[in-house]
Amino acid sequence: MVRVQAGYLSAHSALHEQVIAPPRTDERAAQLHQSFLALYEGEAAGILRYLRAAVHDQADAEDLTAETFFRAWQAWPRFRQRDVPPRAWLYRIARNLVIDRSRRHRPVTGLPETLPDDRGDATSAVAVDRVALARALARVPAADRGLLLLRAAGLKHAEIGQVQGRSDKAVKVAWHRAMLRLRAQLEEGR
Amino acid sequence: MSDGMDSGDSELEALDARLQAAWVEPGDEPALARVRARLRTHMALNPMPARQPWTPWMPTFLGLGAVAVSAAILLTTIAIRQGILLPPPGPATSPPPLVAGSAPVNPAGLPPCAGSQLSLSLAAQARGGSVVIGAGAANAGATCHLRAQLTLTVADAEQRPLAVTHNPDASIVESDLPPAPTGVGPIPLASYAWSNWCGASGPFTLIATTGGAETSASQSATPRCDNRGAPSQLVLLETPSVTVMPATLAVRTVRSFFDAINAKDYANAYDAYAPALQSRQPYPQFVQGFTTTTSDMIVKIAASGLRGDGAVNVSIDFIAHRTTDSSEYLGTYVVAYVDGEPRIVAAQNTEVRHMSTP
Repeated sequence: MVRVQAGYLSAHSALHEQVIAPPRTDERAAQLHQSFLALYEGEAAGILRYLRAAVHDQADAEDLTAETFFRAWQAWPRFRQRDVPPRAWLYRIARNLVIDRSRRHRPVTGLPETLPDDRGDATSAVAVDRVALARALARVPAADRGLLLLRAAGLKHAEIGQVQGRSDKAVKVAWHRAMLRLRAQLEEGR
Repeated sequence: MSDGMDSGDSELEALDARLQAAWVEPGDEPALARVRARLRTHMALNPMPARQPWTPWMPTFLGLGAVAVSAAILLTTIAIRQGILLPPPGPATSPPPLVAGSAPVNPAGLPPCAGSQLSLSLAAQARGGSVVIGAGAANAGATCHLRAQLTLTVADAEQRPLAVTHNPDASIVESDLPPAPTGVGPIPLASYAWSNWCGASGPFTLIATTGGAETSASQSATPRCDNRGAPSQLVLLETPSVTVMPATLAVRTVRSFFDAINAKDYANAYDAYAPALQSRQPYPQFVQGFTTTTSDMIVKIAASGLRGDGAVNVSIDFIAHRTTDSSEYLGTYVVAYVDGEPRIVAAQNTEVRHMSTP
């Protein structure tokens, strides 16, 4: 017999899995609702990761993730007529939100010694590395940063090309140059 | 890089791996759950048109309609910001209440809850510029079913309602309410987000009433003032509910699980596990656990307790016969509704006797 460790769900987590039913009974609306929630389940973690890397603030990253999907939801019925995969489309929306946000906010002149980290363990190796990378990313040209942030979110070169509207080959060349500049900034920051 | 960005420079590839690992957050699920709840609220408040709104050969009036709607929203927003159009004063009904999921309604046929057996509670927490308010109930009596209007009022220290859109909020909540076990908090009934408060600072008073019960709580968390020209908003986020699992169904679920094991129908047995449990034990590993098992003989099985979240504990005493030996186990299986179906959400077995014979 298989032994399963006890892992009683708390009332809260159990309740969290409750599904909010779509507000309309129309079949097509229900299909759109379901397909969009499936899109969220598949892509939200990556979008949150991308936005966390881009804005260095967990609460802002959450807000921007929500806004990304709010905007996508409004355009979801028309989405099939676009010639871009859903993942690339979502990252375009997220990237535009980051650009809008940077226009609204005063340019950052210096990053703090430690960046907000939900794990509350600012001395961990990952957190320290995150700070170093964030500092280096802040100093590379904006185009490099845009590409590297998509890479930080785990996108492959073809996917980055779809987001940026560039060929695979162009992305590969740009990625190589961007990485060299990032490495130079990291070495300078030591 | 494994996906074709081969730089030929191992140092660059290591840096690429570093970059990709830096913002991975293994504990992201709470944040994603918060965003999911906000998204569902947004989707409920902004439902999709039932038909495709545009195709290249369609008359353009639909496009014009979309422009008109957008313009109306824009003008309304501007009007609110300019103070030309103020939100309606006094009590207002919230946007359409969100109906909780696919679980059956009151499958256990519970009696309605009386106000005298309910104890309401409120909690508030600042989060992302808003204040998230949770209302819950504890049940001092026998298990009952609550279907009632829950009214939440955000007020000043003298209990005068604040000028906040949708304040008070009046929404229907529906949930089974098991008795509150020791050490378990109240059962959540509704959550709200209060945002953009530019008025006087707290403390504030939250007042909740439902099903003949009432409570109030003082709290000092204040929403961030984002726009002085726009109204403060109280938005219903979610009305979660608990569905009490009938004890007989819980026992039947566990018995069916053991029947499937004995029939070597591992796919069906695995199906009895809730997805969360499946994710912790992949199917091949699950099947591998029965490699030497010839049968699991149930000695005793009974529902042994109702949990605060509506799940039922099923206690079991069984003997696992293996090819070379056998063991007696005492175990507890927790059965709850998951997506409307009874599922095993947790299990624990302890070996109490080992026998050297199969």
